[in-house]
Amino acid sequence: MNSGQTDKVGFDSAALGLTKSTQSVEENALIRLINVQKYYQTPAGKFVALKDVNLHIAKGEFVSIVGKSGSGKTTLINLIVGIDNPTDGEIYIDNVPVHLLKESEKATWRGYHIGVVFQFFQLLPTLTVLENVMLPMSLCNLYPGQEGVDRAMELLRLVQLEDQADKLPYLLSGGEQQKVAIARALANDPPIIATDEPTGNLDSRTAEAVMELFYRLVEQGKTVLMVTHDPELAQRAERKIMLADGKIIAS
Amino acid sequence: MGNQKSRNDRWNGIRKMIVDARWTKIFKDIWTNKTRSLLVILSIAVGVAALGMIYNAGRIIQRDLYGQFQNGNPAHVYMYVSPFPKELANSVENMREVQSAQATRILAAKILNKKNKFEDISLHAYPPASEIKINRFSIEQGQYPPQVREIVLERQSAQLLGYKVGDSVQVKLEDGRSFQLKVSGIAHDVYEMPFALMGEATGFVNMDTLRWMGVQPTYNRLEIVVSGSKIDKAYVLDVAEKIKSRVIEPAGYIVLSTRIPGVGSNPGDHWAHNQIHGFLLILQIMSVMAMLLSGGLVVNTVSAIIVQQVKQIGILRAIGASQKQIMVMYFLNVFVFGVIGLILAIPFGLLGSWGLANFAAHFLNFNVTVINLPWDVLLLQIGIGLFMPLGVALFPILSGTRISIYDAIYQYGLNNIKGVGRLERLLSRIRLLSPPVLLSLRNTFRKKSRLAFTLATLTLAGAMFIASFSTYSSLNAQIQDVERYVAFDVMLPIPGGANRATVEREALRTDGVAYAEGWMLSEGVIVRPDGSESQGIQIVGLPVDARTIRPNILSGTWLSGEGSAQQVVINQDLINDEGEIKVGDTITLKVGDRKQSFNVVGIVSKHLSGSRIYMSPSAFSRLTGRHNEVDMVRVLAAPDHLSNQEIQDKLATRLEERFSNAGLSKESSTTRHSFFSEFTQVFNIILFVLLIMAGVLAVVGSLGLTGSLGINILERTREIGVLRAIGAANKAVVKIVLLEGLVVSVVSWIFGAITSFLSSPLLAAVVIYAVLKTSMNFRYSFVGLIIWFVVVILIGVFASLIPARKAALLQVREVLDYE
Amino acid sequence: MDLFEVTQSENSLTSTIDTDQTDYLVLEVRNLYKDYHTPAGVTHALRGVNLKLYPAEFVAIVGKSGAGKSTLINLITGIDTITSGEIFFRGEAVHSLSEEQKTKWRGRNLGVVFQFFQLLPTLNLLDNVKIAMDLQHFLTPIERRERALELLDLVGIKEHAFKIPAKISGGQQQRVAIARALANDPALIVADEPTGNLDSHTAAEIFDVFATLAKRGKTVLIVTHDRGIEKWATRKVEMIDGMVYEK
Repeated sequence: MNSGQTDKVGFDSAALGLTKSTQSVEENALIRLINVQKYYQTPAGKFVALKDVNLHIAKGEFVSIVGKSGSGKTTLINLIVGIDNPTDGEIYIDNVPVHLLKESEKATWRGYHIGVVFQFFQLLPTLTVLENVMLPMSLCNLYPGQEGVDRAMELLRLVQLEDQADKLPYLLSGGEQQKVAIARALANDPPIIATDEPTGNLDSRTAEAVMELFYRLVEQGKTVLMVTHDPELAQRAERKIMLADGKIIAS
Repeated sequence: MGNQKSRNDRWNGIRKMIVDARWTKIFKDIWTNKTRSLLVILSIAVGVAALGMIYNAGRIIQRDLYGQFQNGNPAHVYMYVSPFPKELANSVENMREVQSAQATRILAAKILNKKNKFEDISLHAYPPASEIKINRFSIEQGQYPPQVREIVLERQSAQLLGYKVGDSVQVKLEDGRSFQLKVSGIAHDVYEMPFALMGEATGFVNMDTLRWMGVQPTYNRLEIVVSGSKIDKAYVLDVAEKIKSRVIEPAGYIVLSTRIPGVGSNPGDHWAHNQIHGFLLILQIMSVMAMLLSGGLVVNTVSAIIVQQVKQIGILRAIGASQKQIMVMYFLNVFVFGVIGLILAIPFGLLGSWGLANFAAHFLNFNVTVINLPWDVLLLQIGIGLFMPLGVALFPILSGTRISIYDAIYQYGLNNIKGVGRLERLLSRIRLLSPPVLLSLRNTFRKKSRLAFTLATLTLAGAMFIASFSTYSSLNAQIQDVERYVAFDVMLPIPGGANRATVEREALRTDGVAYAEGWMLSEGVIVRPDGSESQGIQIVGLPVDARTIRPNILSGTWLSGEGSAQQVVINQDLINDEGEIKVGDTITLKVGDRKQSFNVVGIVSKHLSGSRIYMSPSAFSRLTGRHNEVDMVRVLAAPDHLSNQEIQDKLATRLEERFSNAGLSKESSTTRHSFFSEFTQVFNIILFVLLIMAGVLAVVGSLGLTGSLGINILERTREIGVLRAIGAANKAVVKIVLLEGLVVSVVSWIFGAITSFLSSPLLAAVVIYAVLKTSMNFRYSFVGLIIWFVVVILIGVFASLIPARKAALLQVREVLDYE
Repeated sequence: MDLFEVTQSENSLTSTIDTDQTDYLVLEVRNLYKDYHTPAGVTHALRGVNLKLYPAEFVAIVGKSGAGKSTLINLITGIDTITSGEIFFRGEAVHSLSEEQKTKWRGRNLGVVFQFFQLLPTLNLLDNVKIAMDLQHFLTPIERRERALELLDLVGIKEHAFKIPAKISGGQQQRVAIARALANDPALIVADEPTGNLDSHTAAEIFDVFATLAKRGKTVLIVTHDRGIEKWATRKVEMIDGMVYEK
């Protein structure tokens, strides 16, 4: 992208100090973490959450990030998704320096580029299932009006929940709510899906259906990042990044 | 770090006493949230202090003003009689119905003040060597009784005129002769209205001085205290009637008029009794409102505390605290707020009551003896300061601590809607709006009791605000009505009367006068069918086509040229005093000992002048026997419209000069604008007070809204995190919060508007009756309604700003619940 | 003062533990069922769980997410209500107690440690431990202070006794939570994912403390993801789909 040109959401990448002089395969990676550090200053001393993280993830990969509690996997996904800021280092997603964006800009950027399915990010209880799925579209001004309604119904069909469209979330089981959350994550057709323990509350049948969905998304060219502490689940992704005590020990 | 450690150690060292950790937690909670704690404490303190201040001030006034008043044996009724000797008073006193009677001479004069301007003064003279038994005033300096050529001045008069004991003052009688008197004493008289209010000074002289000034040494006023158990207006007037028929008239004297002292007060009450009562009532209402609202703030704050501490409550339950134990902790919290609030409130309330009492004392010319705190006022304050917050906090503490441990600890995940009411289901049907807007809308109605509370406060504020404006509108409307009867530029009284033609000629010759009209004045009574007589009524004889009056005719017609000698027009005040009189009725009027009957052809509106009867000059002559004599001249600078203040003032000076030189009148004139400036002053004070009340309500309402919205945000931090995660920029988050605030504001405006249709006439009636002792026509203020709309929108916006900013600043990571 | 042999109260539920009586059943769970009813249907979280716990045991409950581990813990601690089944603590029926009675029972007989440390933020560490005793009127006020200090010493953070939780690390906070759990000298200590938010080194230290407590005669029951628990636990119980299996 040349200087002065802005992408879909108005980020002038060149003005942000990006050069395109060196172009290698790695530089074309969708997600790039360069020398990322994350630590906290506590009264008890420095707590290192992530140390010397260097990572490239290409477009269309199905990646699992696995490790024990406290290994830093949650911190890692938080950084990639922009929910947290690195203490040091750089994070580029589709060549956008996410680490330089302000909170509000990151939120908007996230709305366009990443579909998030995290444990704590449940459905909003006062909106119906359909409205929940439509919400990201409204926030980013995509698919206005009837187009948005149609698209949301399509997504619900994808997860086999089109009959629940007008229900409030409390009427759905945990598993069903999780599926709606996935539909919501796909609302703005983001290139990246990030999820944390996606099958945690699901029975085996639904869990299987979810994994199937992920495979299909990957086939369509999306990049899926999955954080889990379950080694069996991690195996099912094509690539496994293992973390322990804040460091990547296998990639 | 080292400082922290030693500070902690010192604190812990001080706490040698082992305190239960439960209480420690509460104290530390209070200290950690200083701003919030201070806010609640202050609101309790303000309410309790206001309450104490007003009650105590009322007590002091009761004790000192009314006490002093009653101690001096206040008169129940004044009877103005043709010149009589002091023995008449003795005869009257012999009557069974009369406890005591006192003869007084009241003489209107002028006194030169230190700035060489003549002021009005009423000279009082009593029978020599007799004790003053009624309306006993006290001597503050110098001697009483004054000797010949001496005068004792009332203290406020002396102060404002600029004189001390020993000074020589110039007193001028109505006929223009001046005399020098020496100030021999300063008295304190609570029975006469103060100089500052009335514009008339008071002075005491003895009969010898009057003789020396060439005045007949007779008395003209009987001051009467009646005996009996049930002493009300009707009884007193009845006794006055008996006095007249049994003693005065048989002795050959004429009763010119009868009057109960004061401004519509009951006999024996302080002249400002009703006004003070009204004023204190308003203040009491204000303080009750302040209390209510501080109660609201307490509820809001306690709710916020409990919401914030849900997790901690869960932990306490997990480690074995019973619901009762937890409730006690939070009650202690509220109790501490109350105690600190009290500690602040009691001295400030005392101070405030000192201020208020002194203000009243200055205004009403009495002495405050001592400022103390009576036991019952203290107990009242303690009761309210402690039990109000505790009582009011019961609800949120009860409902908040009832939460199951499971919910408390595992929180409040987003799915805490256990059941969905009809309202939610209804709201879920609204499809037309975008999801973020729907979110705001539905979120507003999520916590119904909290919403109800905020709505109630804002609705009340709105109702008060609009009611205040409406009260002002009504007052204004009334003034506008009065103005119709005061349609002159300048008015000049002519004591003793003068020839009409002369007066009008001199007036027209005055530079700047384009129109002049003479009025004839008298006082008379209505003779009722049963022979009894009414109180004194003002009788006005004026040209049928008078231009300085534009009466508002309620029924019937104005006087007309033909047959006008038989016609009268009465005003609404007369009907209120005397009872139902209709157009077409015949009434009998008596002036002196002349009686005539008249037809009532019209009824005009009230206009703050008291009972009045209008008639043509021929009718007036027929009744009073006076022909072609006018007692007042009213002029206009332009023949068809009123002029501005400057012109009126200039005209006034010229007119006074001319009439003085012509020997017609040495009185001061009154301009139209000065007539109203006193009214508008009082009205402005009233409006000011009311608006402050409404303002306080609005402030607390918005605090309530801010608090509510804040709590809502607190409970929904996760939700906001989710919104951030799925793409909501700052603007979007702020918009959602803002919309919520605005929805509440607008809904409250609607409720407030509806309530104001009830509250406005109520408030207007209460205020106006309390202060002006009259009922008025009510005008609803749509302007006030619109202004309130704007205010409410602003409140919604500002109340949302802080919570919205907080919400926007929330780091998504923080929201993830890792501690 | 011996931390674990304290004067008893009248209630038979708080008598001293004699570590020789290994047959003395501390906790018995019989045929425990738990169903969750949501408008979407019924979830059977526990399907007939049977479990016996004895003194001086360090029992680890492992299993996948959703297997029912936390549910079981919540029922044992009384934080959640059972659908059917029985829970006996030292022979006394706990399942039939009212909410308030359960709360009181829990305060006196159970020490609960959560995954998120959940200390009261405005109180210092000493008071955080002490408040558990204040609530149950355990010992005299002066003795409570002494005991609290000693418990903090036991878990190795006595020198921070007067700090507030925000000033210490996560691992240290968890230790305080454990000290608090021990405050009223409970026979049974229950912990739900106590090392969930700690790094492996600190987690090991925590497990050490639990193991020590078990050796001293306490019954420790913990739910954990951490496979490394094998090194410390005296007994391992696996939960699969709402049922309990032991090897």
